[in-house]
Amino acid sequence: MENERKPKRVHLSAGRRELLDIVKTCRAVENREFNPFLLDVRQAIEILRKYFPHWEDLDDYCLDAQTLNELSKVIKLQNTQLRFQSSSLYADPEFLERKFERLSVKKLAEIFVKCWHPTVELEQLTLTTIEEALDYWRNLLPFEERWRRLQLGRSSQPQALEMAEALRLGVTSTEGFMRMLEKAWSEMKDEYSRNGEVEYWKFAVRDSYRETVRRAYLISFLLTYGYARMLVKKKGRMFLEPYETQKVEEDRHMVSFPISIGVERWKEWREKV
Amino acid sequence: MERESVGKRFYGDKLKRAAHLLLFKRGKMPGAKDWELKTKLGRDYEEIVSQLNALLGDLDLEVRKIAEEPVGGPIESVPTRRGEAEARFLVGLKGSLTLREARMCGWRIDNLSALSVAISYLISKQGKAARKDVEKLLAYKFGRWRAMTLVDVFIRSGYLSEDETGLLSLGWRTRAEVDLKSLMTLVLEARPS
Repeated sequence: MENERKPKRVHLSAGRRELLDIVKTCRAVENREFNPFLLDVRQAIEILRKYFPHWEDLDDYCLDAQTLNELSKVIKLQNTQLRFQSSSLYADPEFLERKFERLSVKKLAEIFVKCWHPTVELEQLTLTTIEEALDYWRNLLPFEERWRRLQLGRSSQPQALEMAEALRLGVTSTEGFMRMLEKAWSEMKDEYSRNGEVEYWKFAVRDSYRETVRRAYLISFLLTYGYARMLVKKKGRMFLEPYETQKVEEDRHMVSFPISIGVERWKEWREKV
Repeated sequence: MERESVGKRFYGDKLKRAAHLLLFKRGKMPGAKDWELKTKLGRDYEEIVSQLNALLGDLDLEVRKIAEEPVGGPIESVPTRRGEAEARFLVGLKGSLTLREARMCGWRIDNLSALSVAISYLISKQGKAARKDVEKLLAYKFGRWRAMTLVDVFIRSGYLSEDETGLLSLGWRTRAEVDLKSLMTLVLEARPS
């Protein structure tokens, strides 16, 4: 008796999902999110072949055509990449990233200047430039909008704060400010002698957001008054180094270093610490 | 006034007019389009431009022809100093500046350095990369806030361009002013001092 092969049932909804997935992946490749060679074009074509005889609606045929179109774009990108890799401009992006980390700012600037041939352009006030300037100011987003891009959280207008309210919020305390500073300083020194380093976020972050802000506030004073210094190491990691005695270094140039402590960031660090 | 010698013409007034057109910025971009030059200088505009180029050569300057709006394809296919019909003529430095001279022109060393990083990174990514990736790379050396403002500055000055999906590509100014091959060679050859 011959075994009759039962034809495999094709689920059209699954097919649509698969095609949409391919389109999505192709678009990600076009947006340089993935390497074009990560997409198995042959397999994608197989999927198209599998479902093509079963399509009945116009929408499905359109989806099939769209998928094919997106796949052709990926193949074009693969071709471009191969040509690019064989050109003299090819360099591995990851290798370059590591190189940039090691090269100094001055060295990078020197390299650039050697292959830079700037254009000569004499500026003058013309109707076009005045219009351009006006357009710039008209289109400039309000300051608050621009800050929003930094995701610093909502900002509100400055208001006056009563002493009682300040005490309630924990911004100030009945305990002397210098005493609070001394306490934070000795705590920092203890941690430094124990671990040999004090990481900023580990030291500042506490279970409550309020306490974290208070500690960050105290740290900023300790740094400004010369009780400690801050070191920014690789990948932007910040470390605190307490001094044994207060140091006033007049010959050193002080630099302001803003650190944002948004609630989101605090939550993130609280989980890490 | 035009003088004609044996086999060669010298365009006196037209040369001056060409220099004015190319050196004084009139619109958003410096230089002049080929059709502008043709309208104002006549059919022989290419010869006039080449005479101007010879004169400027003594001053370490040169006239360049760049493609007006190249498509964001592979870098190799983008014409750098030779364009087709829609081309723009610019006057630029033939040689290069020293770091000190660049600073005197108003460029900060860290801006030049950041530009070098951004351009080389974009080249390594075949001319296109997500803005957030470029900012992340710059943030390592220059800080997050500065990285964002630097990218904005580079876009405004035409060194980079950004599309609506947040992809950065090399701008017209990079193609006109930067020798990309030398840049990549120098970056790859550089050793940390």
